[in-house]
Amino acid sequence: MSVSGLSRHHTKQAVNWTLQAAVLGLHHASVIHYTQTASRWQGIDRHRDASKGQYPNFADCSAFVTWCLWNGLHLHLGHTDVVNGQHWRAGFTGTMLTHGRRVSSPIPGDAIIYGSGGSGEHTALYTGGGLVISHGSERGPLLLPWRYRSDVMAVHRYI
Amino acid sequence: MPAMKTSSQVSIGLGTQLGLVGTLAAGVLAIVQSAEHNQALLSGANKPAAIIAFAAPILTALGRMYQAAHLPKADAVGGLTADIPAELASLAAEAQANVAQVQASPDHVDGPHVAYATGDAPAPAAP
Repeated sequence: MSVSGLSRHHTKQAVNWTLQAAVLGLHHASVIHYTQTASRWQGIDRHRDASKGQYPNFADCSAFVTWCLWNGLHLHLGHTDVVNGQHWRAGFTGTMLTHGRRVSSPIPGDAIIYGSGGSGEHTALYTGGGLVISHGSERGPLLLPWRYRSDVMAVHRYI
Repeated sequence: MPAMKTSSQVSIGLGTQLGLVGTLAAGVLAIVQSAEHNQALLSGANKPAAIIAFAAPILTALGRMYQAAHLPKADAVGGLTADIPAELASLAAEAQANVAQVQASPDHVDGPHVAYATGDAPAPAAP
């Protein structure tokens, strides 16, 4: 049984939809701006469906990762907010750390949370192959090795 | 950033599953056919053809399983494996090069001060 309680079939679908959103973000990095204002939640607020080629124009790291997982878990499968526990309306690394399951090594669809302690400082989505897609600045979502920072704090699984 | 396609590819094991289903269906069909030609089989006249008819779909299915086993795969997901966008696997070198960018201009720090985007922070705990 997956962390989310989904069947194996739905788990695979959720992972693929999540990765599809992340890759779409990577493809449109130049027009996904970094913000920590309220508009960072635009992807979910405006129901940006990655399977239709839709993506947010504003996000920060946790909003981007949450939007990807929202595509995988909620948009098609109607799953409740197991990522932040905020009804898909809010969240940050601190709420992400208190939800899902902490695991020792990542699989695609997991969130890597970076920081030196407390509520974490940054998060990125693990894509497989030792890589993450990270939206940590105005550069937009960027493909990186998952240990590109030395302060990997936790790996959390929500799917 | 190089152009990349999005991917909604699914599924690990899909080739394997199809192969197994194909094998079962073809096997049943071959048995039925061989029964219909039982007399001929007993006489040995059509035996080689019947064996080929039975073995061919099995070999085909095994081929599909072999192909499925050698497709690019990501890490295990729920006991299975999932295909990842092939573009990502081919961009590992670029990902490594991106590290320098991040080191030059580090990630912004996420924090609780931006936790509630929609103004609906949880109600304060009851006294």
